[in-house]
Amino acid sequence: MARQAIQSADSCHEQYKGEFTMKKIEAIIKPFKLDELKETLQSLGITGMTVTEVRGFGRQKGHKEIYRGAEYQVDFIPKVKVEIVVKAELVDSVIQTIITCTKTGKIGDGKIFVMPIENVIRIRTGEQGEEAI
Amino acid sequence: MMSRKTQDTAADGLGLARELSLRADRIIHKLYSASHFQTSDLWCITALGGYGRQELCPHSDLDILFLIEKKLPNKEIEEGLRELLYPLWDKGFNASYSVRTVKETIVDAGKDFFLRTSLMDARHICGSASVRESFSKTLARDKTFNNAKRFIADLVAHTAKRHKKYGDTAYFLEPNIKDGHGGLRDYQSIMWVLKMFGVENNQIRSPLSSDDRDELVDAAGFMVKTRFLLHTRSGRKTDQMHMEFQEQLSTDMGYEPGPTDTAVEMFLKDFHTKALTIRSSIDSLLQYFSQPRSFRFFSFRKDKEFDLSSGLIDFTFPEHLHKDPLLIMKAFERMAKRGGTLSPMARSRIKELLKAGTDLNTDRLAYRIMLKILQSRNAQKALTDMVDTGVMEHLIPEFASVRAKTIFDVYHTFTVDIHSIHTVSELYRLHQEEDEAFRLCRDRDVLFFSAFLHDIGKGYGRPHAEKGAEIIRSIAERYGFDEEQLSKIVFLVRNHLVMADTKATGPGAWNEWKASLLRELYLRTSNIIEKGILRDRKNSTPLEEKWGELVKRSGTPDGAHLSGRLWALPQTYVLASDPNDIMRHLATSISLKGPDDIRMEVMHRRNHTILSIITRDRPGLFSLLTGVLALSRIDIISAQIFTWYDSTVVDTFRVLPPWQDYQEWDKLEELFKDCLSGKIDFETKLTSAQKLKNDEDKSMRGTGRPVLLIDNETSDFFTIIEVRAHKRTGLIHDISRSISSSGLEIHRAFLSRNSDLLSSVFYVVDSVGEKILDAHRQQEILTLVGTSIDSRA
Repeated sequence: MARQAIQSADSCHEQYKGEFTMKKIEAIIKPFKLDELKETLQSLGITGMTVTEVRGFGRQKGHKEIYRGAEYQVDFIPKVKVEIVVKAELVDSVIQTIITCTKTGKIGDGKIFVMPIENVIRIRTGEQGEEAI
Repeated sequence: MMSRKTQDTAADGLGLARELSLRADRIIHKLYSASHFQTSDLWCITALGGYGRQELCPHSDLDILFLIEKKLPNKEIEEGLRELLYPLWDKGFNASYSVRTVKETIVDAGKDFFLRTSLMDARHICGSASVRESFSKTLARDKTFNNAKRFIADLVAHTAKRHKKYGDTAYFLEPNIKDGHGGLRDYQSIMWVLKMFGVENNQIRSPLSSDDRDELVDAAGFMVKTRFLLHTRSGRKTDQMHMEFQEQLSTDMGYEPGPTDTAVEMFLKDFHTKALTIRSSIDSLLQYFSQPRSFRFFSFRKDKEFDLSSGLIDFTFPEHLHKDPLLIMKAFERMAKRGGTLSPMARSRIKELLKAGTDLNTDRLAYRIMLKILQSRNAQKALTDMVDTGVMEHLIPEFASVRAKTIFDVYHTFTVDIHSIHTVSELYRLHQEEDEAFRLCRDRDVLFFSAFLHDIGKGYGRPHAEKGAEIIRSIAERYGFDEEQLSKIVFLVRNHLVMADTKATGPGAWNEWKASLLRELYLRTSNIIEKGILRDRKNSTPLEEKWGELVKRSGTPDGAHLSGRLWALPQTYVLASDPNDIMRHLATSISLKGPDDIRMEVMHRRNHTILSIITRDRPGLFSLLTGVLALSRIDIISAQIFTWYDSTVVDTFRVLPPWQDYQEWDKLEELFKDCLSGKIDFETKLTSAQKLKNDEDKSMRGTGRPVLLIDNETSDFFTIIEVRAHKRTGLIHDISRSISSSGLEIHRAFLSRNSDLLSSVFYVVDSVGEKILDAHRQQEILTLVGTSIDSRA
């Protein structure tokens, strides 16, 4: 599964590799996995991230694996969104890390989105580009 | 009438859906055998809802109930679910599930109506036979679950709610196959009702004939196939036939263009016909079964013709109906006058008789009754039922060509038959609300007859007004109208002001100008042409009254200075305006200082504002005014513009300000002044403002063709340019600007809007005041205006 994820992420990157040197990675994960993920990413040298509490659902309509339940309703489940901007060459390893850290094999593990970044600016100093990451 | 073609389609549809369902079954069987479920005899896997009915479309939900006899440890449940559900999800099925004991299922069904109905279609897939037995037995015994009375009450409530939600006209243009009127939910509801009341297992006799049943199954099969193809085409779970899919769907369904219809129109014709079949059945059955049991079997409210005991209209002696078929028309007359619905049995009987070739129209009496029905309070329901049962086509064979006919352009919302019926009921409403106009019309038979059949030519291709006039003459002769009436009818249909039936084409607010336009129509019926030459003095009462009022007021000391100006007022302006407003406008007009002076009156109504702008005429004025409004982001709902004979222009706009509590009306007046005087170059401003708005508007635009016509017949003195298109910011300005830049002068304009469709009519002349009769010039104008609709340069 992970291999597939990385492979398809790769093919997406191919398109942009020449144009964008920075990428944003957005991961929607289960809340209890946040701490573990943060520490592992830090050990990779990722020094900044933004975290938001969000709610969402996917194909399984937000049903946890509980007994009974109202199958004709779609529910929001609390999740955490982690956003990081990295240099393009780091994307693969970051994705791998996120998957390893957060995967439980159960429904609701979440998704990772990769987007190109046009520019990054540090407000205090005015630095731009990769230096500002 | 089921053609071979539609029977095939129905079979196709149900066949495809069953195939998919069997595939899902096979997968589940396999997964079950490989799972640890097998070892225990504790689980039973049951399909519910659509999957239970074996009616699966590619992106339908797969409703699965995991039944157990008694509660199991969560861990065990989770493991089992993962073995079965994850592969299903991964294969792309939208599986939704629940795990319940048999007891819990029944209890939950008592509280959740949707669960309850989905259980009615429960189908065992695999698993423990004993759990299955237990489930069937418990379900059969449970009093709450089998309480038919409560069921029908709940069903009626839910159906009403659903119909309200999906009854908007937007859903007529883009029907929702599942939840819309006459869609699959309605069909399912019919099946549930029949099951619940014991019709399925022959406990009671069916109120539907076997022909009725066949027709319904055929209609349902058609819907299933359409839905199946829609899911396939759209690649997702969408049950609404968005415009963008309609053409492709019609091809997929095997439709080809006909002599007068496109493939899409033919597809939609079948669609709407079948939807009406389903809809009529459900309405009738719900009412029928809602009546207390005793009412259905013991008659105590009947006369020799009709039996109303069940609350529905039934024939007292249905077996004798073929001897006195006029009773059928009388039943509809009763419906039209006093309300009510036909019982399912009555409907069946009527259809049977028609099929057997009985003539309903003995001694033209049916025609007499028809005219009465048209002018009754509840005409709409009666006429709709007449169409659905086939009685309408029997009486008026020409009606077949407009049955369920969709006109595929951006403006028409309803099918032609429904539109015609609405026109009649609108006319009735007008009678109730604006009696004055009606007093003018001496021959209501003529009026209602013409209104109902004014679009009869639409089934025969364009131009339909001329063709319609021909057809209606022969129909009217059959109805026994005399020569004078015949010529009136033909005149009305040939010249029916398209704007006059605008409300019935798609609902929306009934605007002042439409009412005034309709008054003009009545006046013309009585031979008054619009520039005011009164041929028939007897019919000029409202106009005369208004003039009288004006003269009186200008006879007073206060109004004396205005009396010299009365000659400047056009007849249509006087007719359309309140005398108070007229006096005020006159006073304002006199006080204008020079050609750049402009006055604006603001009047607030509950949900919109009325702006009256008075100024001197100049080329391109209307375009300038609408441009300023666009710039200020003020939304024009409707407009009436009049040019007086002394070149005073009185433009009345009904508008919506860009936000609530908008207080910048003074600034607006200033802006008008500055733009008129040239102090502000508003063209530049407008172009830059428009750039921002363009993208937003683009996403909201529909895919229908705009309508653009030049009409030299309706008015003796003006060429009429008619434009109907999707609204966007600045559209009116662009259209009017292109008209002005063609060298034309706009003397009168009427605008109105239904949701986002703008409809506009411009009365124009060229620079020397003549109509534009040269075909080449007309084409140039059409091209220029057409371009202006599409883009902002």
